[in-house]
Amino acid sequence: MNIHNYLSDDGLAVLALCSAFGLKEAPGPVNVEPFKLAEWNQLEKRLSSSSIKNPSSLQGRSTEDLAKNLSLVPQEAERIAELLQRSGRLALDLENLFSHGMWAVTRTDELYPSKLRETLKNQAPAVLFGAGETSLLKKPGVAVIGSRNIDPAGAVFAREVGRKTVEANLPVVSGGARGTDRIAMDGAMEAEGTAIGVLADSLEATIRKSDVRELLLDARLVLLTPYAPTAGFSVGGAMGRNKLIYGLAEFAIVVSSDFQTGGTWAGAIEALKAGWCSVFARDGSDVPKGNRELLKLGATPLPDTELNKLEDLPAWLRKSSKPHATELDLFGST
Amino acid sequence: MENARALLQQMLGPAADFRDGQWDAIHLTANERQRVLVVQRTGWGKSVVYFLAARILREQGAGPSLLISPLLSLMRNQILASEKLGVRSVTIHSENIHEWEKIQKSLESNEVDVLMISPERLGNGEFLQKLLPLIQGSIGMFVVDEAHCISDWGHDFRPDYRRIVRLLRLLPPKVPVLCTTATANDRVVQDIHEQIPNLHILRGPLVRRSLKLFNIKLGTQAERLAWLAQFLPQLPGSGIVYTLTIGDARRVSEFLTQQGISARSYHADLEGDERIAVEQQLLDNKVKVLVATVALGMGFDKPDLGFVIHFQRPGSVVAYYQQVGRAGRAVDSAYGVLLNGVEDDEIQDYFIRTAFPPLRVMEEVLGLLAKSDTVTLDGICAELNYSRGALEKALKLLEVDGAVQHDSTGYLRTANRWKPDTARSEQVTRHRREELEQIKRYVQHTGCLMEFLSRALDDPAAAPCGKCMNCTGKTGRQTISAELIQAATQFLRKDSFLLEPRRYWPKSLLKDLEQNLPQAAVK
Repeated sequence: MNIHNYLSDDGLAVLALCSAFGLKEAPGPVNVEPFKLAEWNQLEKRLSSSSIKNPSSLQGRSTEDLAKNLSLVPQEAERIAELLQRSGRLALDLENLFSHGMWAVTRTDELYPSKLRETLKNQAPAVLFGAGETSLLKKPGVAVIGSRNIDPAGAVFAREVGRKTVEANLPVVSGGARGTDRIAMDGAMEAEGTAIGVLADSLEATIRKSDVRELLLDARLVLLTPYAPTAGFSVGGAMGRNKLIYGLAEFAIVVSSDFQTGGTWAGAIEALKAGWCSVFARDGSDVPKGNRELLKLGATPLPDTELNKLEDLPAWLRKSSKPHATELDLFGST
Repeated sequence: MENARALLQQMLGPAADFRDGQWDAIHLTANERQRVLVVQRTGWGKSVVYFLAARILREQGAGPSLLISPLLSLMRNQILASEKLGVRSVTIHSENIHEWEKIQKSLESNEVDVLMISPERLGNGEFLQKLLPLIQGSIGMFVVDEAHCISDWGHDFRPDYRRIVRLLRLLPPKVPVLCTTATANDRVVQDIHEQIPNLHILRGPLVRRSLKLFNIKLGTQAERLAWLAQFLPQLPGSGIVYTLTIGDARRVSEFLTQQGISARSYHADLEGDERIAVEQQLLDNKVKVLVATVALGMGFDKPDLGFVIHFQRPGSVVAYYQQVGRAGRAVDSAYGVLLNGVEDDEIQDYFIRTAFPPLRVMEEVLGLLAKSDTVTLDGICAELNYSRGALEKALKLLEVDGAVQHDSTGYLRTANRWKPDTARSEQVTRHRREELEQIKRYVQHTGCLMEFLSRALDDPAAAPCGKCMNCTGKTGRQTISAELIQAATQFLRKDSFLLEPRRYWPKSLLKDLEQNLPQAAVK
């Protein structure tokens, strides 16, 4: 465990600026707010065109210096200085985070998944927390999407997709939640493959479970989240991490979706619009209405009668993918 | 500098001034915000440096400083010293839990300048989640005491210092770091430098001018007890006798008391308040001698200590230097006598062999934790057939390696992979053997003893002291009274070796046992 393999000096500065990590649970006067993604994108641009250049060179500068060099209003400069000031406490928290088997990377670091950076660009989270072998993040995988309460046919399908994905030596990407996510991951594990779990909450608590820990230690599972390791569940959190699931995948397969409601539907629509990856939806005689509507909106059909016959699922997905632009067109000018 | 000097004089009297190097260290850390390693002998006044640096940083608007130091129960003296300098310092450790609430409040209201903690505390969840966030603003400075522990080449092996290194390497530049040690040779300094980049090294002379060193070989314990009884009353002031084991500390103290010398023992088995009381008795010269293990160490500062005698030979020259260096800080003449006997090699060999838990213990502990959720120490003891001490040692190393985490509910395997660093433990063990050989050479040395110690520490000022037994030619031995040897022999015979009962039984075992006992035997 060498923390510097994960976080460069620039990464440490970005973490101090963009994450609530190390700020959490502090009582007393209201804490200074870390930079939101959009704010950070702006600051990053300013920074690279200034003489300061790198985030790490922000350390130790006075408010006046920051205001002048970055052409910022005093309050913003003050905010940067204050956020960076907590680096001592951050160091203590980070050491503890890594000692407990977790890691942190930022968009400026080498270990940040490059697929995510390329696909999501400005929308790629500035900071990721995770656990497990980061090299599993190098290969874009096949995302399996669906709700927690899944119909029996969907469950069989999800497991089979998991199995066929790892048989072609790709990782399964899922939200790590109960239901579809877990079933697809189980399929991958049964076939001795690897999986990427994008968590919406509770990274710290999740890795305490002995079955999860065993997979992490065996380098068969990697978990990551854009939220603090102790963050609890929130609907916003669950929605926010959807783009990471699509962003880490080459193909996404929607197993079962409700129509116009729920995270699966919203995430799939968002993915179709943004073109993060090729989106497929399970097709067949008894698929939910959401699936049929997604197919109308541009998702590529993956017939459930086909799946079992496929020798090489990723090859078939590649062959059947529609160019992303088509999907964008469907939504006109949005 | 004038402001700082004025402050010093205001607190310590008009005659007070900085010693060589003190201001340099304060200036580099507080004003230049650099990383500094100070190598200065004990009693030089490193606490003045970190307290004044902390105060100056506070005046510049920085937050409180974090001082990381082992053996915190002995930090009371430090706190008193800091108060004289107008610095508000507090300490948090397992023995002052009743004060935590008060400390929390003063942290919240920003009324703490220096927070002192042990290296272990850095890995404590409650500290990190509850106390640390109370610190208002930034952490002004990190102070690392006994910094030689950072290096495997240091004489004192403390696994927790690896955590400190990881921490310091995460700090951006411009967060001042002050590392201090009284015992680091070139190899240790270089190693620390490699681990903590951009370190300024400030190094002073280590010789203690007032100290008269003697080495006396007396094979049996009876002879050494008799020697102590005969010669202690002739030594100036009060002092310390160091023993290698707690049992020896008790025995020696008891024999000396029998012989009419006011002696008390001091070791890790004493409760916190007992230790404080015993220390105070020595500080007030109410006892002639404390018979102590290494538990009496850092933080104990008695400038007029008249003598330090070793009942057994320590494991290394550096450890010896550090302990004997407690004598004669502020008096013209003090004695350092190293007695060595037949059992020394055996004890040191035991220390070296048991310093690292065997690999199979580490692996079995991990194997057990891998299949479980949180397990208590009792639970581990019940499953694995090793002594509690060996298991605790293994758990400590695994924790520092990040393979195991622990909190009040027990131990838990983390998601970090672990592979044994046998090369490292072998290297440390080899180094311990070399150190042992070096101190064996020291006790045989016929040249200046102080010069030998200084050279071992690569002190550039090493030179013959003119005071030790070899410099003065006082190598003859006075005879020890036959009656005293007789008395000591009898004492040792009577002091039948008490077999310590196992202090903790795994709960489940106890339950099984009780079930098999006749009712009457179970209270």
